[in-house]
Amino acid sequence: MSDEAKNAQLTVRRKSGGVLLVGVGGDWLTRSGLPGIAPVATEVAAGGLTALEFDASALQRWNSGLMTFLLQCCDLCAKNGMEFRLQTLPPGIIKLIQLAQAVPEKKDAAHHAVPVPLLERVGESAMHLQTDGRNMLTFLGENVLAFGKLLRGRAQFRWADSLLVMQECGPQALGIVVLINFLIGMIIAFVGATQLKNFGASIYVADLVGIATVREMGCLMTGIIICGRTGGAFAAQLGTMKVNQEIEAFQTFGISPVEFLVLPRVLALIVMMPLLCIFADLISIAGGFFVSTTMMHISPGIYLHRTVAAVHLGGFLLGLGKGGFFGVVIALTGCLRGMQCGTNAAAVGLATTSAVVTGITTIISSDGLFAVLCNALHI
Amino acid sequence: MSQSTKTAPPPQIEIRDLTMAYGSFVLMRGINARIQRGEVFIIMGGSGCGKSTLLRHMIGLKSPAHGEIYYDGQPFWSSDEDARQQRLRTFGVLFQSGALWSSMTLAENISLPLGEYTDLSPADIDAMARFKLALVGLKGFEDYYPSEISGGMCKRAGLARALALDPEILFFDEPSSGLDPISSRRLDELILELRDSLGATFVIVTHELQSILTIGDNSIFLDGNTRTMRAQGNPRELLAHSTDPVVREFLTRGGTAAPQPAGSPPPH
Repeated sequence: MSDEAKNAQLTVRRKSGGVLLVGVGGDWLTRSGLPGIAPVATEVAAGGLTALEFDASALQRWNSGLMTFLLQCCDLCAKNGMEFRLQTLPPGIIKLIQLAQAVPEKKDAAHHAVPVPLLERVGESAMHLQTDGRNMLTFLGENVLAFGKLLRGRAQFRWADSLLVMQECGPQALGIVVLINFLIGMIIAFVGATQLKNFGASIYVADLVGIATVREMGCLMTGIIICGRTGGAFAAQLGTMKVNQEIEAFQTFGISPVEFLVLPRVLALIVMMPLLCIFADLISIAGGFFVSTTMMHISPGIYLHRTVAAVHLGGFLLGLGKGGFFGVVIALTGCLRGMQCGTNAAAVGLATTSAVVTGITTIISSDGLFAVLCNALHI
Repeated sequence: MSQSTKTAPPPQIEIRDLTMAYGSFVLMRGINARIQRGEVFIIMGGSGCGKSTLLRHMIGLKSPAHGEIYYDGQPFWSSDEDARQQRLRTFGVLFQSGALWSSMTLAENISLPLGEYTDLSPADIDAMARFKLALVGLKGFEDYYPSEISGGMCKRAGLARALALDPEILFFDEPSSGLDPISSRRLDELILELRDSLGATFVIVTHELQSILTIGDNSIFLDGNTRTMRAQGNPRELLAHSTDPVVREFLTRGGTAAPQPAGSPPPH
């Protein structure tokens, strides 16, 4: 026997009386590769065996690599009705094997990965959709009730909280809102101007930018930005509070989480979203102005004149109104997903993702609905 | 079990035939308990057997699948929302990790319920918050946020908040988990002091054997395997007299069935 590290060696030999002698030698370490149980399994499968014995005289270092091999042997013996003789193994190994087998396997504890049929999954999703919808409506109802209580001055509500959230989701978000909308204005102007040029109608790019921005893009882009930035933050904040049992602490004090946590956030976004939309509209038009005057050689005076002529107060107010609506959507989805959050870190991640996805989907689909409605109502 | 309560007044808390379930999965059924005013009542049992869930039923966070909990003879779950809210205000709850509101300072954590439910002036509320923090040894930490103090301090601050409304019943969920042995002994002493000075009733979920035997006046033992309550009574008497092997195993840390020196040999 040398002191050098040897790879694990496995020998299998039949002895008299139906005993299979398994020789384990060398280093049985997980990091140096293991021979596997196949040779033993083939011998056992050949039949005519009543017991399994071990020869560990050449065994040097070992760790869990040997243990898993031995436990597999043990399972093999149990399956084939053979005796598992571990007496000849080193005492440390015997103790570990006994420890691993001390508590019988809990049969019903294992998770069964039964493949669920497609139809069942579709059905389950549909059922889930129903409960999810009911939860949303319940949550909406709770918020309406809480708002009613606020109007009557009986809600557990602190204006200081709302002002804090307003600062967080208003002024602090202004930078990103301004940047994105400036770029959007530039893009609309650039695409529009190159196309309109073909008809010799480049000047109408001012109408295009003005109307598109004020009616649609300003509030839509702001909604999407705030949904990702603030809606996700709401879900993460409330989700972490859920994990930390802070929400339950409110409940045990009889303080309604909807009134105390959700209402300030909803109010903050109702106020802040239209204000952000005003900035978005102005800066987006400025972006269009910048591209048109510098790259498309449209006179600044004419551009401004066309813009003023194209943008009506009605369209402008429509944009702001939609902005406020999107604010409610963002706050409610963010808070709902946060309150529905499970009680671990992964659940907070899921809640945040779900809040942003639900929020953006609702914003864009409701914007489409608004467009159809406005068309029908000739606004 | 105990002979001292022959002429018992009506219990402050009574759990009658309570069944706890998550959906169709029944966690525990047939729980009955009577808790007298001023008692330290221990809910004990192995990990995951439903101790904390029972506590959640008692503090109004989870409604029972069957059965009812009575406070001062009044049913809790079958009464209306307003009555339940009124009842909740007589409770103080210490959650496992303290569950302090992380966006508020320690003083604000305590002031919030006071501001909601009392007509005290802001100065009085402030003084009250200082007093409660001083009670749990956190004088001078009024303006700290929960993230700035240690886990043990969070727990003590949580206790201060639980004491905010001078509750009649205090519920503790694993008060000594995550505390070192000395802090956990101090907490036990604090509980006994508060019981003696405030006359409050304590309901404590724990599997800390030392605490159970030191402070418990009354207890129930929940068994996760049979999904029933296994024993009820003073934990020290249970240790001395219980013949149930599962209860004995728990109370002796899985040791032999030999009785403690203080008790007599196990009967029969």
